[in-house]
Amino acid sequence: MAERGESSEAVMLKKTEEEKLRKGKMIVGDESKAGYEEEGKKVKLVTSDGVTMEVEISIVKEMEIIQTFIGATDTDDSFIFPISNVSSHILNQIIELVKGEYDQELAKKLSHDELKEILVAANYLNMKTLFHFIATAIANVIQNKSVEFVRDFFGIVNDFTEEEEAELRKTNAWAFEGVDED
Amino acid sequence: MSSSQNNCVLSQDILMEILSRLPIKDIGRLKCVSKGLNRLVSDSTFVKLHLQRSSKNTHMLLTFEDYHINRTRNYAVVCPVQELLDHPSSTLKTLHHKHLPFNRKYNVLGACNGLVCLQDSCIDDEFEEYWFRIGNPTTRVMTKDSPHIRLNRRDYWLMFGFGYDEWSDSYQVVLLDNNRNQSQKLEVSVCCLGDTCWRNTLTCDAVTPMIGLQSRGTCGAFVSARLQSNDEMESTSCFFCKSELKKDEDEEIASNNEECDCNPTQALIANFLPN
Repeated sequence: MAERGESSEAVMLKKTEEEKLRKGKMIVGDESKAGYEEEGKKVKLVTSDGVTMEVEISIVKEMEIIQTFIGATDTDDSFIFPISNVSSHILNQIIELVKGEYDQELAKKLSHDELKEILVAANYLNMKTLFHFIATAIANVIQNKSVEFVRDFFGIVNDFTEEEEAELRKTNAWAFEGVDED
Repeated sequence: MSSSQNNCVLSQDILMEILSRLPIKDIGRLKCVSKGLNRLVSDSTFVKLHLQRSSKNTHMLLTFEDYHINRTRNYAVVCPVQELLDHPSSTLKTLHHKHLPFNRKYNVLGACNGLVCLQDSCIDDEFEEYWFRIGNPTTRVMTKDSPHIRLNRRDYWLMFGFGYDEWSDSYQVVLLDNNRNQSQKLEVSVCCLGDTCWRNTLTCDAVTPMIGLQSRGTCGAFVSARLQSNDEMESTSCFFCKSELKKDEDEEIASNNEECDCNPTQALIANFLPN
């Protein structure tokens, strides 16, 4: 019995040792990434207007499209990622918003075009939190606004005939009570 | 969708993401913007996305009777719970929600995803007959009477419920009919929204009525294809609506018309469905 007890203990020990070893390996394996995530570390992004911007890794981490790319390659300081759909102006706005931890007040200062462009960029860069934040901000802008305001906001041309529109407004009359002035 | 001088034209997917975050009233107006947008917000993909987002905002259905000398009408009002919490002294008028009128003989059977199911019955010595209407208090659209279901009048228990069945993607009224004609069988009949007849979907051994369930209860909550007695839910929401609303409503109505009285009779948790 004693012997058996000893042997199982030994097996246990061996197991913990193996585990330690594996953990050790994992730490070693993660080192490149951990080192990469050091504070102050920056990633170079080239915007659509040809500007190379150094963006803090904490912000780049939210851009899932770049994260996938970083994960698949060995990274060093020379790593440059082109973001051909995003202008330097919009990238600056995105950096401000992420740094400001998505402050509603910051979103209020953005123009309608900026809001739309940031949303398109957030979709392209796959920034989920930013996308939700801006989509909600745009929804707040057009909420309770007139049909004309929505057309203007999205640049949509009215393709209804006068009769068609009048008929639709009649059927949906419940939706037209207490709408804000433009 | 047509574009204009506007620099940034959003794709349909991105538009859908924005618009699904708007309240239902805005969606009603969006239908008038353009043909493309009308199609987009009427599409079932959008309707489901909108429902999924808006169901996070709990709404309450409040029904009340409006007594007049010559006519008495029942009304249903939908109130977002958050709005009631933000403005505890709201009156029906300030809630900005128009009422869905319905004949007073109808009972509210249940509510699901913003739709309300009303039940009416005709009972004589030999038979009892039931039928339903489904309405959307937000858009004030109401279906015609459903096909009637006729039952022999016996002393057995039956229970109706209204809900959404994900599997068949339809709104259904379900009837549990236990031990009719002493057959010792439980029969389940279903009538989906838009159906022209009732279908018998299941027959199995009769079950013992649940403790506390009235012998002839006709109102159950239908949750994920299961019919449940909704006593507890009803009492909770009733308590809420009475404590929060009754006093103000009475004052509001009384100031408009002295012959008019208003008592909330039933309240159920409901969400919105755009169409």
